[in-house]
Amino acid sequence: MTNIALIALAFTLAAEPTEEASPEAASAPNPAPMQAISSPPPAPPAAVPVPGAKPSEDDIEVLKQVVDLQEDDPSAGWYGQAYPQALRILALPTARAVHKGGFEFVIDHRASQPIYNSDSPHAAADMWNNFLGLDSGLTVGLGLRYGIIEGLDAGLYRVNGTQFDTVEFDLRFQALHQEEHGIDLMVRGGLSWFVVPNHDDALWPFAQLYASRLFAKQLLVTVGVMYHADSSASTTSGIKYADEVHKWSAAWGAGLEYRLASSVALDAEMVACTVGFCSKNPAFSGGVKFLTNRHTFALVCGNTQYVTADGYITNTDTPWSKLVIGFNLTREY
Amino acid sequence: MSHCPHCPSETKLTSSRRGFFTALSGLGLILLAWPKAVLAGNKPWVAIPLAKAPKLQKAGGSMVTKIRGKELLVVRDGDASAHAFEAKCPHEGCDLNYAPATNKIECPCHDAVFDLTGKVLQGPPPRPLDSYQAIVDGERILLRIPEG
Repeated sequence: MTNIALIALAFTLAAEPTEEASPEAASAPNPAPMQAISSPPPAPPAAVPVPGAKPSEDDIEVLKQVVDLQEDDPSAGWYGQAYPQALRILALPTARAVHKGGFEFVIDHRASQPIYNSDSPHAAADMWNNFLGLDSGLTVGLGLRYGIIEGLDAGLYRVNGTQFDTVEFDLRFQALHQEEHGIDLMVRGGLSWFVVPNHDDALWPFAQLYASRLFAKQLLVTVGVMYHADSSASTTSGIKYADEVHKWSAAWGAGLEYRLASSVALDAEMVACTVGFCSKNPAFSGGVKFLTNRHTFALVCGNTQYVTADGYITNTDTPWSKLVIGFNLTREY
Repeated sequence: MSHCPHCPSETKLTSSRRGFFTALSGLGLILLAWPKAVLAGNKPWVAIPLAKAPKLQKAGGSMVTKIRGKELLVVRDGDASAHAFEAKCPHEGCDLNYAPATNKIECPCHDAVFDLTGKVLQGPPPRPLDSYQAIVDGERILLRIPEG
């Protein structure tokens, strides 16, 4: 073994390039016999161009069209990547999906009592006593969205309720992009899972279609049509989920977001139920949204506390004099 | 379970399996060869005519463009000097900007800063920017876009 190792070592030393091994050898002129038996010279340096050297015209393709992505990118400015994605107006989705691999965490609150209850004999005092309705039981929504691929995200959203809780599963697919097609178009489909204590749970589908467009890099407009197979959930007790008692709704909605500055936006949205199970007044919400790095905080005021797909689709019985207050928090990762 | 090499059904099975693997191999070869075949005709250099890129006509200008499927940030930092980089930050893929005042490339998402060799000077990016050789050649900027 020792002999074999010595022979191998000798071959290894003999095979090592002497130029790197010893500077003396590198500086010495190469003997002619070595050149004669050395391998052919390497390929000419044309394959690896010298930095700064102008290439041959044969190697150059002249572009006929030069695309300026910054100029054509409608999401630039305050809707660019340095800002949180505009995935919702307030409760109404926009036609945009979470970027691939991204997360959006959502916390929504809506007060149960109105800011000003005109039915109360002490309406003005109640405003303070109930702290604009925030002292009442809050509807709290917790949600998480994940961008599966670019243009497709999945969401899970849970809202508490007095008779039951609602858990929403959905997928959103952004079929068109404004930078390429002039408009964002998104299809959303999902299931509402009504978790009813002491009753069988119920699972009903919903589908929505939204289009959005950003104007002048400041005004985001979104419109949509929506359908839910059981939008009457909040009006009856759990027993009705069995089968035939459910009612469906179809509605259209519209929302605006106007970016006043890099960190402040005004928002308004309305959903009007048109067919099926509909209450009296269209659902309307307005608010102001603050954006800081990857967070948003929106202070919301409206005639509905519904934030789920089965909720805001059904209009509301709340009169305009009994607006409720709420807020949304989002955080992107 | 008995094995019958002359059984018709077995022969058929073997034949179809062989055919399947042959087809699979052929498909694999096509998929391997296809990108090379598509790119084989590409010349190694691309010329951006400055007449079609007004942002690059003067020193201090920059633009993000798409060439051969790559989004590139092209920077002209001098009358005779230009650079080209991948346009997305290697950290989380945000769009990069050239800041002429500092002569640096910045990522607005997490305040990363790169110099004009692509080296990370500040922030969380895990690696330098991919850069492409760029030459100012009269009224055009030449970029060397390697194949593949």
